[in-house]
Amino acid sequence: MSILINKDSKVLVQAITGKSGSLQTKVMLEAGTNIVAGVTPGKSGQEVYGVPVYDYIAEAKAEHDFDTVISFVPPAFAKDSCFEAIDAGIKVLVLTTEEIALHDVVEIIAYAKAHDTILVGPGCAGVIAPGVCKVGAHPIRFFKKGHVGVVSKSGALSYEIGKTLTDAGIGQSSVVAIGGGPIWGFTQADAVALYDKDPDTDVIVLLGEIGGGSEEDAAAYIKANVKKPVVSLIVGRNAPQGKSLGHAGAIVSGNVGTAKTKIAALEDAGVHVVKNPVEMVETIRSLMDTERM
Amino acid sequence: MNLFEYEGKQMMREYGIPVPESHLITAEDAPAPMAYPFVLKAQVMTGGRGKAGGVKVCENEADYKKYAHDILNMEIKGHKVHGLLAEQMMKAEKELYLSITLQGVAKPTLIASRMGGMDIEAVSRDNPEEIVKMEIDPFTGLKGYQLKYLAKKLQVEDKKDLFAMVSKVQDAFFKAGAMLVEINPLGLVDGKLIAMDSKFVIDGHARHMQAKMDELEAARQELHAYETPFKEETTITYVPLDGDLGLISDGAGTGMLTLDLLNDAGGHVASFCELGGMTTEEVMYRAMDLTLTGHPEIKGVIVVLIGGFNRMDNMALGITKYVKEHDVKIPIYTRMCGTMEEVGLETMKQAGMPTYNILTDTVKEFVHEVEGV
Repeated sequence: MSILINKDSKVLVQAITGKSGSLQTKVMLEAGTNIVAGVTPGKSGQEVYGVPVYDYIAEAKAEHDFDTVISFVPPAFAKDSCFEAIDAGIKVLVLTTEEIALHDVVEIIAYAKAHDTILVGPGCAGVIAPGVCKVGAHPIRFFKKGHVGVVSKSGALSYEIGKTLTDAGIGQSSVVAIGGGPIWGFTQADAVALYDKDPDTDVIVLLGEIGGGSEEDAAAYIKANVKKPVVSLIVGRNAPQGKSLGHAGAIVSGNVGTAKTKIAALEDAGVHVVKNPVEMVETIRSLMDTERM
Repeated sequence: MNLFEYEGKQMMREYGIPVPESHLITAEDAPAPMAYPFVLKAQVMTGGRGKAGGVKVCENEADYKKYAHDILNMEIKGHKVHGLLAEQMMKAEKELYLSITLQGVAKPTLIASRMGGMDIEAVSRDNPEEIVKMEIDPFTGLKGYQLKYLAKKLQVEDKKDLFAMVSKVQDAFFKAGAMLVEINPLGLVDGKLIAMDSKFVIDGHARHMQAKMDELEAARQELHAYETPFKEETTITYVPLDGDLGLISDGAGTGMLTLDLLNDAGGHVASFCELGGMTTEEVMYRAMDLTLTGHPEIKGVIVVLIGGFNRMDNMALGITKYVKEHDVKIPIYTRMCGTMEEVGLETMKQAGMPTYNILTDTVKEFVHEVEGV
């Protein structure tokens, strides 16, 4: 199995007729994702690569079953459309939109939590279960099916490590990119918890970066709960103080959010912390059965 | 957007939060705006102005003339002073600390302490039992029991006054889409709470505040010739560093990874440049321009691309166009893979530019060629 999504996931795409929405719908369909419907207000009756489009989720729900939503809705409208998706009683909402006002993000996260919807994002690349399906932007060429579970804030870094593992012949159970922050619905600790329970995941890869305290939270969870081996790479060791490096959350201020404190917390939790992708591959090889790679 | 104290206090007035009478002074020959004595406070985008001599009490005109001149011409931790706030003298019986923040926390969080008027991080470190922290549900706001608990911990007698103050601060925080509203100290003067200082930060993505932020910026330019920091029109993040190697990436995580790999290989990075959400040919061209012109001694550039949302055909067009138009002579190493890579790699080949596939190898070869290590 994979985490968050699987072969039975039925997916609805919000803002399916937009530039990103339609392109990503095409590549998700090619990756085997079962997309049952799309929504864009005012575009009802159209089709996008054969997927029927509705104005409202309630209209789509009258015709189709779905449990997963991916949203490409622009930032100004993201909050209301997330409420609409959550009100439909879905399990997982992948919110790719960046630059949503932080107070809107706070409300979306609180609303999702109160209604038992897992919110992945905002500003995230989503999730892929290699060889099965994907709800997000991960290019399938970088991934292959296997038994390493990967979680990353950065989308690009999750592709990079996916590619590195795949090039080395090591497959992945799932790869999740949760977004650059500074606040998240689904966290690194949440991903680690799901991978720990997933019978198809043998080794967990935690990709972290400077800023905030989410890697420390994950380390605390691992220390208290996780038996499976965890390998971690923390990027931004050489970042300057007080400058955010492309992700709003990736900023070191004073002693908070440094790579050093994160690495120390992870090592204290028994995590194998590596410095680069080459060491990552070597470490995973030493921790896994050859037959499961 | 970080607000100056005078702007933050104006915002507070708009939300009904009591603040002392104050006037902004932008020229040292301006007449005294109120009766002596009053306090002159440097308006500056950094903390520690008191220690640096940026806060002075004026008892008479001679004091005022001297201090206005001194403070207006002062730099505090490398920051220019943008005017003075002349403020009514306040003698506080007690100094508290109160803030609501979304910085470094997962939910809106109220932080308060009886030990106001000092560095709150020091209080948090040395007297953690003196800090009250409570999360605020965005849908309900602070609940009754939370307010009562706060009054107990702060040992405030006039609970009604405290509740009114906290409610107004909460109102300001949520309505203004704030990242931070901080009052330190929150003075108790003649038995009533009053905001003696103000730190106010508005979320730059709060669209409903855009007109307000534009208005504040226009007023800054008019009042004290404030130079708005350069705003990049694309989604590019460009951070100058002090080495000689340029770094461009199409993802923050891979950019930071490459920064570490370059350092580990003995390289010295001149600049970090990440494209952000916009990944057109023009944005790539702009990234090349920022990187190649942003640092005078740049010796080479490494471009790290792994396309998901973005397309390698567009990236290749941006790179090759820039190199051709500017007759670039320094080495440009491009690692290119992902969406539309076949087209992108062909464009690079046609332009006679090398491309690479494995990131770690690219970094090693690049540092070896350019820095000879």
